[in-house]
Amino acid sequence: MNSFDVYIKKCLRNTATRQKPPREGRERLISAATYASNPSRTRENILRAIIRSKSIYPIHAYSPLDAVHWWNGLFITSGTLSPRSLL
Amino acid sequence: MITDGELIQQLQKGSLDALGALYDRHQKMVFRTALVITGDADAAADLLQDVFLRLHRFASNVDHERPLEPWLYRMTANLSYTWVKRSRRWLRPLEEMAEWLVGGKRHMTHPTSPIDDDWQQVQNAVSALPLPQRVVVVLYYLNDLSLQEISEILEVPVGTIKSRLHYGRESLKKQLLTSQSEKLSDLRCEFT
Repeated sequence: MNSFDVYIKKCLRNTATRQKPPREGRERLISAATYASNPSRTRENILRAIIRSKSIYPIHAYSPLDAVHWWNGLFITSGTLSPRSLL
Repeated sequence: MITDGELIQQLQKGSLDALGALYDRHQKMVFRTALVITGDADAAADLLQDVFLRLHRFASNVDHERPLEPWLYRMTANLSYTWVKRSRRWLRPLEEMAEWLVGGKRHMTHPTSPIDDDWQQVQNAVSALPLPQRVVVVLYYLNDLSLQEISEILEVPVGTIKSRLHYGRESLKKQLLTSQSEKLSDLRCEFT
């Protein structure tokens, strides 16, 4: 590696290590995975629960509709459920 | 210490503790990779969740005898790729409008010293790279992966990875030189 490579490497690492993953990340993950792995829940129930429970929103979702879209993409492989019909 | 392979086996049997342990072990690597590719800390936090939820969902397809990192890198790169493409189409105009309305620009970091300024310039130069080059540059410089490893992760021939890295590096040099000379000319103006 030449000095330019070393410089880029150092800068990128310094930028990346300054920001930490969110502290509550593990709890959010386990909460979301628990919802996903509960066989008694139909996908509609899951999506309704998302709308009610802010704790399992993705941080970047700006509204319940965003959150439903996000979860829709994650869980539903066959067919689509209109998020608007749930709101 | 329990290995990733053993944790994957437990996860395949439905253990959420194993998922939590894998998250604790690899979260920094996934978060940092997503952060530098997207240039957005909120998006990186969501992508981190997304990667591990997919690991939970597709655990049965993961081979516990092979290292987990390449799988995580592939998922992180693919999801970041999708996020950048989608945000370019929908979020960017809205964010720019919001920034314009509040009269300020949101930065991933807030440069306070010349060193911070250097980091910010490099991050900006990386963010300006075309996405395929950006992903290779991040995996190579940030994650210290070899060209062969990157080629296997992205499922792209080594020659293509080499060329993306070459053009990415040239483009970074050009952008950083331009911003340096702009800085120098600003300084000259201040002293004349």
